[in-house]
Amino acid sequence: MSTATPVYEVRDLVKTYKAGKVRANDGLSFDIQQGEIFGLLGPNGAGKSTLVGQLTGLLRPDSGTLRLYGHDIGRDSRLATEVVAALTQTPLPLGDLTVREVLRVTGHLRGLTRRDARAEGERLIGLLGLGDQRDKRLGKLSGGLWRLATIAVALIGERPVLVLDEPTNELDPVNRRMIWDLLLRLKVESGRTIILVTHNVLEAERVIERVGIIDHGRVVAWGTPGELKARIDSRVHLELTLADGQEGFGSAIASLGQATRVTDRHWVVLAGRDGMPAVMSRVLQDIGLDRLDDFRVSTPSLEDVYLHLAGEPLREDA
Amino acid sequence: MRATVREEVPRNAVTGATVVPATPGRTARIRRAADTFSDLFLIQFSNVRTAWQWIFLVSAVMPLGLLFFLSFLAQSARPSTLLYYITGNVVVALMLNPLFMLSGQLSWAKQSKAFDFYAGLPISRVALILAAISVSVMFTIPGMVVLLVVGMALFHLWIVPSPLIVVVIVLSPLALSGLGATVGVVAPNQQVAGVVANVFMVLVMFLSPVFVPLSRLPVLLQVTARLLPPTYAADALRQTLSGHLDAGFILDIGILAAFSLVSLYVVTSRLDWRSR
Repeated sequence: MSTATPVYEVRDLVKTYKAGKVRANDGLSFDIQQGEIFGLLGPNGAGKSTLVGQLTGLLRPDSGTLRLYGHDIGRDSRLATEVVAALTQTPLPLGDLTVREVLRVTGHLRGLTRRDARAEGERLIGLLGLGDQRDKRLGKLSGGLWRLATIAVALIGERPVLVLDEPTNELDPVNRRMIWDLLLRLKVESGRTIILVTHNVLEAERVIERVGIIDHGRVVAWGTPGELKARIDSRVHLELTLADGQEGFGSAIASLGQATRVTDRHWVVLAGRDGMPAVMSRVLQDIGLDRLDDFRVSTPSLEDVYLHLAGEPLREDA
Repeated sequence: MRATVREEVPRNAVTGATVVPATPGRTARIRRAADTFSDLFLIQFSNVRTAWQWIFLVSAVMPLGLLFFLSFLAQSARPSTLLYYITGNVVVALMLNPLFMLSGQLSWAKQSKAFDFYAGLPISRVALILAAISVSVMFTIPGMVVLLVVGMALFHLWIVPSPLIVVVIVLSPLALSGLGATVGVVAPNQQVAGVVANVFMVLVMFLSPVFVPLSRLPVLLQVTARLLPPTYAADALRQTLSGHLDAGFILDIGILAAFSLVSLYVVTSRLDWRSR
């Protein structure tokens, strides 16, 4: 990571609604570094959209500072319109233009020449598999295709900073995979800084380098997925599903240590990182793979971290 | 303004490209403004291009209906009265598209947060509002011409207008679109914008001198009428048709132009797309 100015420097950011009664962002402080893929997580109503609105220059903070490449965009947001492109949850007022026109116009408004905007639009149409949709009106596209088109709108003009609010909503598994791969490529090949707001934590884990979890407008956790995982249960899960008719081997599993019976056939065994190899070899010796339908070892996922840190217990504290 | 000299220019770590753009020169900015306007015009135009027949129909039905109604009533009226009827209806058409449609569109854009898209782009609010107003003007002019021709045909009053009618036919929808845009941006939501537009409509149709001479109105209405741009649009239109243009025509044009500029200013300064 370079030591240059961070892309965003946020200090004590506060944004309230309803004359100060609702504190949507309540003293947020963090940096976003050049060229990283940053995941912003948090439950519904945590203040993510408000934060996105401020990072993109659409919302004016109540107090605190918000610097983009060193410029105070809380005061003057023009730089944000020049370097940031956002995919937000608000509908685009472009429903009556065709996909091709939407891209051409947006690219041109972002400063590309007409010819470049056209070429870039065609490239994105190809990249996102929208070839059959290029002459359809944006407003007529179905949910997933509409989502892909709006991602293309965010990408045209190659803004160095991308803020993507739930880019994989409405997408099928193939397209979700395509978008995650695309984001990785954008980071590696063109060094773009990407801020990703998502609930699709399990899949986003593949691309996210640093995570911020916010709730009630405050930072709950901040760090790499590895650092956050270390803060919660670090034990390894072994999930076992016995084959039909092999339920009798449940007692063998129960003797493995900290085992939980989910159903007669489905068990979960927890073990420390050091103890897991021994547990696994006992499973193979005492039961054998033939008697198992499924055999799965996993460490805590980012989703586990998220559920642990932003889940119900936290809500009860508040 | 952003500073033109920066000590540290952030660069992309992979591509080495400068991240923060340089401030463009004056010519570049003017060319960019023109480019921006044409894009925004296309977007605004796209909102109506699929439904223009309906917009045209809606904006023509009421004035045409009024024309027929008046033609049954006033077969033997004097030409000066007929002139009021013909031009009055053109002014009613001015209320529909520029005032109703534009105020509705803009208040809905505000309500549905459609301005977020524009606010995220390096464009000026003036360009956006001008584009919306231009589309509104463009869709209003054909209806005005049709109403003039139909009105003359119905009342058998064929007049060759002064060439200056072109100025009136462009400037009056411009002034009324300014009013419509103001209503759309100031109203808290689309419902309120609709109610306000309706009130204006009633004021103009029944309480301003578009169908009757100003002198026949009660004193109070003479005052209110002078505050509303349709009064000047109607007067200017009548003068170009009646054949004798006087100093009043210059005043009409001046007020319509001033109204257009002031409303553009009000709309642009009230359209605070960073608030909420």
